[in-house]
Amino acid sequence: MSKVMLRHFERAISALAETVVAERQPGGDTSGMLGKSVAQFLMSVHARMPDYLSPLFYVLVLIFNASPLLRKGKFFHQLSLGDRLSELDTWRRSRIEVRRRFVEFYGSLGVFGLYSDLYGTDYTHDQLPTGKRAQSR
Amino acid sequence: MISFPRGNGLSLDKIVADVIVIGSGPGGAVTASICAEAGKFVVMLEEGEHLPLESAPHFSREEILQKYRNAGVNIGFGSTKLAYVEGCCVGGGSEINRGLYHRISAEVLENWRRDYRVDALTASDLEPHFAACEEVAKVQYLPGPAPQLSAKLASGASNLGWACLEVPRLYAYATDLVTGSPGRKQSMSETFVPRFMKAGGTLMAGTRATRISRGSGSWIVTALSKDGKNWRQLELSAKTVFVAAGAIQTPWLLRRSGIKTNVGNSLRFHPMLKAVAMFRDEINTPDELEPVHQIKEFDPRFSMGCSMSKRPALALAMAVHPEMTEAVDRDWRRMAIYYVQSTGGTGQVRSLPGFRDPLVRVSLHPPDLKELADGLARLAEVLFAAGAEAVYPSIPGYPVLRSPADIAKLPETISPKQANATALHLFSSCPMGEDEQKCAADSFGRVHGLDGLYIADASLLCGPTVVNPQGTVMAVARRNVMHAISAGAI
Ligand SMILES: Cc1cc2nc3c(=O)[nH]c(=O)nc-3n(C[C@H](O)[C@H](O)[C@H](O)COP(=O)(O)OP(=O)(O)OC[C@H]3O[C@@H](n4cnc5c(N)ncnc54)[C@H](O)[C@@H]3O)c2cc1C
Repeated sequence: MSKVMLRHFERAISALAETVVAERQPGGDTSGMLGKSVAQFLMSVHARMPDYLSPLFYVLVLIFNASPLLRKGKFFHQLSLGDRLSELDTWRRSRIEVRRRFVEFYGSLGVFGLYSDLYGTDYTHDQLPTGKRAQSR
Repeated sequence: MISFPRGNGLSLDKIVADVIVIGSGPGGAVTASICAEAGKFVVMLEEGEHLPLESAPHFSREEILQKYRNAGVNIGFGSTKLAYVEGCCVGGGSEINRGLYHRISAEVLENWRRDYRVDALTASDLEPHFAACEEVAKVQYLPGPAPQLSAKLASGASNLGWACLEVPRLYAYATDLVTGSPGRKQSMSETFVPRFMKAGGTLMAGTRATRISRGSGSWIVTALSKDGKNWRQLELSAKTVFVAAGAIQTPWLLRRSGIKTNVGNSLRFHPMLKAVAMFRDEINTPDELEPVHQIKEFDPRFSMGCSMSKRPALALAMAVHPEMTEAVDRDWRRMAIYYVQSTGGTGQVRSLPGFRDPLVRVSLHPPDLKELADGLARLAEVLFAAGAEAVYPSIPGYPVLRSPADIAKLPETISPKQANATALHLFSSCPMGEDEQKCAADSFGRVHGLDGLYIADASLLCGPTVVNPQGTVMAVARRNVMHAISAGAI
């Protein structure tokens, strides 16, 4: 895979992550840290996918990134946040199943990553993760 | 004896053992510890890392990256796609599961005995093995009241007059708890693996077996071991090899080693559908224990239970209802995830030349999909009987159900394209028994026609266990290794 494509892939994943975060936390990620953390999670998942699936997802992400080119003259990662949100919505409501599934996959994974950041410690037992030995009276 | 001849700049290491066990999940860990306690020099290979329980909170992003194979992204292909999950760390699936525990029923064992001609596999044959495993990996009921989301399911079942039970877990609960976690999960890394090491066993984590071949008088296992960022090739030999890599990886390894008879052709699983219920009151409160109730009214057709319902999991389960995003953020304490799980569907495991990961094909036939649809309707019924205000099936395009009358709006069956099924329980890819037309291994796990090569994991089980399978995997592994030891085969 060429360096240019790899850069596009990484930018697309970052933009997707930022968009998913913005959808769930409008205006809530001023420092951009949540978006970065979700992007890192998506990249880590991609790196671990079965070896016959990861090239497929790689190509799908590139197609997704290039899809606004014809209509808007820009890659997804170059769009404004508002345009990215509506692009995501277009894919979500598309009649083509693979487009819907793509957004569902990255959307749900992104939200899982985001909510793990935000609320991973909701459950007091897990603040001392399932592990720390219980102390008795 | 372990030898590492590094002469001539070769990076090929050679290890000679009495017994090699491939995989450290429930099947492998039980087998390895018993062999080591019998005085054998045992090497247990595990592809994943050796991590403590507390390396990541349960069902967190970190856990998925650290302990799940392929970060949990595995797809069985076919007209219906099935997402499946496997553990990949020392302890295998036992590290990431909830440890809900059952002994398999006498009826299911009877069917296996009859259909696969398995010797000595009655409930009383297995009883001592269940008991012995339960001595090491503790199985306990909740020390106090069940969490509310679990009790809700029980109350719905009771309102309908359905059979429902509290299921014990592989868990040692702390008594008189003041602070800290509610106890200690009894995964393999906490129980059988330490026992194995105490008995002198050698655990090689981060080591993936890639091929098994016949040497002169012994089996040779070729493996790749992680050495920092590099991989080092190893060659291990032993008179006896147990393959316990799980129901997907075991047939993958055997097939790519040229061992193909009845291997990987008959994968079975418990396909599962989820639904989120919204209640009037808060039932999903952070400081409660994990849910434990299961409805057994419809066994063996399907059973129902409660899932972990932390906010990240809820958001995932509700991903198919994007219009409910705000409701999840606002009302998550009133929401919980429930599942229905059946036994239908079959699959095949193949190794693809040039690829590291196995290809899994699955078929869910029309009756299987109909069964799941019935199960989903029953799940909605019990959730309404428990007081749910709305039920959200986790199936793309499915309607939100707002009252019991809406259940009639659910399609009679699930379309193959739509089914959003997942499987956590996988088995039967290399069944055991004397019927050589169907079985990969004999009644005690020895691969038919091959001395010294055994299968020791969920692959051996002849069909769906109907109940949560880990207890059965452990008991069958113990039964088989004890048989091999007492027959002098090891
Ligand atoms: C999320 C989840 C929840 C579950 N919940 C429950 C529950 O509540 N109760 C219950 O009874 N069951 C549950 N199960 C199922 C249960 O965990 C499995 O039935 C059980 O772990 C199967 O044991 P096994 O030894 O066959 O294989 P595994 O547990 O899959 O272990 C196989 C091990 O072999 C390793 N391995 C694979 N290939 C190689 C190789 N080539 N070289 C070296 N090592 C290799 C793997 O990394 C893995 O660690 C759950 C499973 C999952 C995934």
